[in-house]
Amino acid sequence: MLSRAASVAALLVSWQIAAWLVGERLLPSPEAVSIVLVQEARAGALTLNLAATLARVAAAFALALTAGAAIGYAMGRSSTFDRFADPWLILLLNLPALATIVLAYIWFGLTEAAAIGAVAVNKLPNTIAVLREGARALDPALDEMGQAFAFGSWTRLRHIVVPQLAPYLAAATRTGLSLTWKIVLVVELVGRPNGVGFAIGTAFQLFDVARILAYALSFVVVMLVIETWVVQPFERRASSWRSGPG
Amino acid sequence: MRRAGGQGRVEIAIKRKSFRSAAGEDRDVLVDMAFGLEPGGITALAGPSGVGKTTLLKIIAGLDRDYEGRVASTARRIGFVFQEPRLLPWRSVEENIRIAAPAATGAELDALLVALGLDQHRRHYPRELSLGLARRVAVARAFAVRPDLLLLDEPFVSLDEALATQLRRELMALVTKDRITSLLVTHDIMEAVQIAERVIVLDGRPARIAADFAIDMPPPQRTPLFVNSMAERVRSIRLRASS
Repeated sequence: MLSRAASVAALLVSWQIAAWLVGERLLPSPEAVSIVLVQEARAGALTLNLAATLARVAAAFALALTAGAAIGYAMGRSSTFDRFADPWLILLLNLPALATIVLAYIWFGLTEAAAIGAVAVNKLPNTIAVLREGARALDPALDEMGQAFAFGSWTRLRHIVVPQLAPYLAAATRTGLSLTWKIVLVVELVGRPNGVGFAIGTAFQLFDVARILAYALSFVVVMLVIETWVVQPFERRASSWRSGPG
Repeated sequence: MRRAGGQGRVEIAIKRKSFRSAAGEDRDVLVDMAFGLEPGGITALAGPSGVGKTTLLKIIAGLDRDYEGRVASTARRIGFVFQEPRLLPWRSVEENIRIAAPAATGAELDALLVALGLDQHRRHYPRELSLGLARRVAVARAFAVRPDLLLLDEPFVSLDEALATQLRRELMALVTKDRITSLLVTHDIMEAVQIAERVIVLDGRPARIAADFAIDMPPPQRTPLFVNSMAERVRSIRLRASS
């Protein structure tokens, strides 16, 4: 905890020194940024934009995780389906994010659905690849046990499959969240009237570096909070059986 | 002879079961295997390791459908005790049993846990249990589903003899109480003649039935001398079959 505080302090000090060296116009000091932050917060714009971005991250992420888990599981379980879908996966993995976004806006209009869909498509292949590994690693001995005791598909999913996939779901969440919010910002920059990406885009046109930093950093804080209070507790819960009674 | 209680009647008629080797050749494991299981009583399926006993058990349980022939069973519920306990590591002892047997009442579960000496371990996770305890949980789980047919695959292997004897006794008590049709796979002839009412010996490659006989004396009355002489008899049958 102490070393983490020292690390943050060192960052602030070097930021301050760098600001003195290159000048406030290119790199505003931490103080200048925090003043802008308070202004934006008072005006209500900060909350509005953060909330808009967060909602898009949540929607796109939920979509990508659900669809990705289902497809990844199917690919990990059936080698026929895996061979069929693998070229599609490679195509998706290598499709530039910007191309998906622009095409989604052209084909489906500048709508919320197009924006969220485009982000989900960008996150999808990564989730599929991770969950496919998880499905391949499922223990056939437990599968057989479930079959011998005539487990229903819901029981099998809940008690045999999901606990084994939990570490993979957590890994997909961890890598996925940061990836998703970075793409959401691009989607907002290109074609949304609110959100952190939109705010940064506006600030860029006005060459307002302090505002750019204020928005970028506050969203980093939001994501850190989610990581600490949502993702990590989920991981701990999912692996509690390893260390003792949960 | 028909007995009251047990429901599981099984007719096994396997023409051929083969596995494909890595080289792509089909190797027959079981050929012309035909026998029936009457309701109630323990039948031991003995024979050397690797002869195909587990394969046969999986076919009877419906876990392996890739064979020529037919298995007809009247059993509605099967209890399976695998060679390894195969518990869900992320669920407690009690949850492991409840998940497999959602219809079991609390009282039934309590009685079973007490009978197998597991009542102190309800909340423990499988990794906190010794192998002996984990095996007991696997046995409790198989009984909790109130099976018509109980299939046991070397459930006492790699336990020390005292513990194995105790578990055998507990198992026999449970099987006898409900007259459950039971098929016990073992490579240990002594174990087979100790607790089974009928012994089927498999031998050869592909495996055939080398011997199939009933032991009329009830298991609790069998003396060590009797068990030894029976085991001797079975071994001589196997020698003849393999020569």
